[in-house]
Amino acid sequence: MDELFECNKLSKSYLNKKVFENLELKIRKKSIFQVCGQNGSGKTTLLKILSGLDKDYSGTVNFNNKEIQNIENDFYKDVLFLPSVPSFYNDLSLRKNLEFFSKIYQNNINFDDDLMNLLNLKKILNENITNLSDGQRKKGQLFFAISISPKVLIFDEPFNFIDDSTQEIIQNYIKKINNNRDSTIIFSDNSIRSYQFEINRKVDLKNV
Amino acid sequence: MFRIIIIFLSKDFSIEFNEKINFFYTLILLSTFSLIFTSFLESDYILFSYFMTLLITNMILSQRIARSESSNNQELVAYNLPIDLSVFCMSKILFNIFIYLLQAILLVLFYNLFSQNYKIDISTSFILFTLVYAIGLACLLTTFSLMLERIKSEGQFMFISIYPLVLPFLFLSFNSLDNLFLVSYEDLINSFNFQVLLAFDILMFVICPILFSYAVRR
Repeated sequence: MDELFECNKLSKSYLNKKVFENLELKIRKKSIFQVCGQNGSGKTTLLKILSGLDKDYSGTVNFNNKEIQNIENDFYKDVLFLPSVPSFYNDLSLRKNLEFFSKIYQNNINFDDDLMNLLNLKKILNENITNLSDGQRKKGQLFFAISISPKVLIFDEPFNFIDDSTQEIIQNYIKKINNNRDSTIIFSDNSIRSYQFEINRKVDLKNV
Repeated sequence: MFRIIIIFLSKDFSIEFNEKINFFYTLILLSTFSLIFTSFLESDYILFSYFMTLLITNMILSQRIARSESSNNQELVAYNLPIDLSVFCMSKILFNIFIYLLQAILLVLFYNLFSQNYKIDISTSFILFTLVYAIGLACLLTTFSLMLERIKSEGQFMFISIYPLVLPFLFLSFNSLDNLFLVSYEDLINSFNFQVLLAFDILMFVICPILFSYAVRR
């Protein structure tokens, strides 16, 4: 069995509104998995459930054959969820934010990494988050995710706010960590675009 | 658990003390409220007035501190982190206890400065009571201000749900206040109201983080 995630009869609703119902899903280890669907189809909700951040659902979600509801805190160290809008402390600089997150994930960040130069992050490292554009924040977030490259990377619309040339750089790095570090990549995207990496499986939430 | 608490505490201290405006904001808030309250002061009510001022300023500051936990996407940053949210809540409670005690010290200075006829006597009983009061308030206000930050638009509901916890705490504190004038600190510790207040504090310190974690994750 090389399934990493397995969802059986997964249903989720907010108050009386059903987001999705009886969803059956299998995600293999070391694969790249895309979740697509229209706005409001439940992409973010599904990713949050897979990340263990939302535990209010019916059905079962297994991670390495263990139900996510009963999983220990170590699970969270292996799984990194990146929200579609970057989540940083507004009162801290980008450097302080990244240092804080690296302490939480017990992983050192190399601020002299090539990727830092490629994403033009070096000159804005000491800037307060409130002074940065959405695109710069997004780059900071993606830099962090790629730097620590955990076992499972869950991106919610990773290419929002990002220009085309930077998208290509990020996609190449995603391909690299999937190949070299055996990370499983799960991401949502509702735009039609070509990727630098090969998507192993895809789920369209409007069709489930 | 302790590692996460230390990481959050160091982050909170660096945010709070790197921003000079935060300190000035606290000073202005405390001086304004103590000036207002001491203007209408009578000697019998000085401690009541002092702790009421502390309650109001703590409520305002805990909301500001909780707001610093939100990112630009209006979500708690900690929500997306690989941590137990009850540990996060506990670290915020500890940080707020420190801030409230700092406020309590500054407020004594302002009260004694602005009130011409009456002074707050800093006795062991007063210090003990302030400590217990600050811990209880920190547990309640931190948890509910963080919950408000999480749910935003449904804030009215959360204000209603806080009443059953805040009201007994305030009644117990009010009853204990009488003992502050009259008895020694040994008598204060042995008084029924103070012991119940202490028990309430311990209960809140355990329950509030669990309640926060459960409410946010589910």
